[in-house]
Amino acid sequence: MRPTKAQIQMTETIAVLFIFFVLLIFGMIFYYKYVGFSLKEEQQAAVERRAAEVVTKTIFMPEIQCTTGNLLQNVYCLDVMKMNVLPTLVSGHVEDYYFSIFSFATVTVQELYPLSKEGKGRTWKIYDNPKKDFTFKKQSSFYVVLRDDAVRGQFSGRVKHSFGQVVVEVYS
Amino acid sequence: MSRFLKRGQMEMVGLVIIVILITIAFLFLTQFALNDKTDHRTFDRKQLAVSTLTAVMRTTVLGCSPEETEPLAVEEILLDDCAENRDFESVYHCRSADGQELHSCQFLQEVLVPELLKKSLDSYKQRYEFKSVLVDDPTHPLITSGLGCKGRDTDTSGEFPLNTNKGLVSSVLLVCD
Repeated sequence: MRPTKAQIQMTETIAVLFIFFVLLIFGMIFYYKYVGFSLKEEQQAAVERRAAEVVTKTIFMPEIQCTTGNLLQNVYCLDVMKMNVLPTLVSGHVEDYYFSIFSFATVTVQELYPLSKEGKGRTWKIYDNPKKDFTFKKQSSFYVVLRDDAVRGQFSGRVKHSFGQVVVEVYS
Repeated sequence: MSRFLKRGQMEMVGLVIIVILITIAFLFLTQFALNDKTDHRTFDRKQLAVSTLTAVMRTTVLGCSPEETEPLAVEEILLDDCAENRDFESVYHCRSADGQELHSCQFLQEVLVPELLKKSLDSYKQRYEFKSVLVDDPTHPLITSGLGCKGRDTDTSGEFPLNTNKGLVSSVLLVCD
């Protein structure tokens, strides 16, 4: 028995609807995958932006910046004498002050040159407040000069400046 | 027959329109995604170049004769001495790792600058090019370091000028892909 014209059209409609829904499902799967992926990328970019922000805030932190009197000496310069006492100051005011500046982050300053006879440089942990259950972690480094007024030239009075690194780790 | 052809043609046109729309949407999507990344990386690298060169230039060295106990700044004293006495005996002599006393130019070129850049940019596998030249004699640089950035996507620290008795010395650090 040959199918009637109506039956053929019905089959055709069902086939078209089937293909339409298959395409719709593929589209939805692709869309949700893309949304998930872009959300992750967005979060990662936000963490990267925050890492750059924390580096900038560290470099321009009045508590450790190199100054002559009240004047800023130069950018990318941190004062060793100020850094020696900063951890005590910061640890007492993490929640009521420094958290609003650095949030969940770890900021470390390392001396890279010159090193001691044992081949080690000094390290200062400026801020240490890592997030325990973090999803993303981003590390960012910038280079600075570390002014140490405790070491001065006997005749010229010139101050020792070491080559250092600011390492910032931010969490989200 | 003509009715059937018309319907087929219409379906084809619809299909073509859908394909064109999907292609355009995809192109927009990829374009935006790529642009975002480039901007962010450029900002980071520029800051890196400026901060690294500033730190290198202001670092001081101890134990250089004849002022063994005096901290000598890389830019202000050693580079200045190197520019003024490139073809003569330098005023300052600094020691290499094996204790040999070196001309200020040789010390900067072979010991200090490579060491500082190795500890900073090299440790992050960042390609770079450092150059200090007398502006009047750009073909004979005082100090060079790094593998070079020719033909690569590059960010510059900008020029760091130093006025010496031999003329203006310009230092620049390029950081690239």
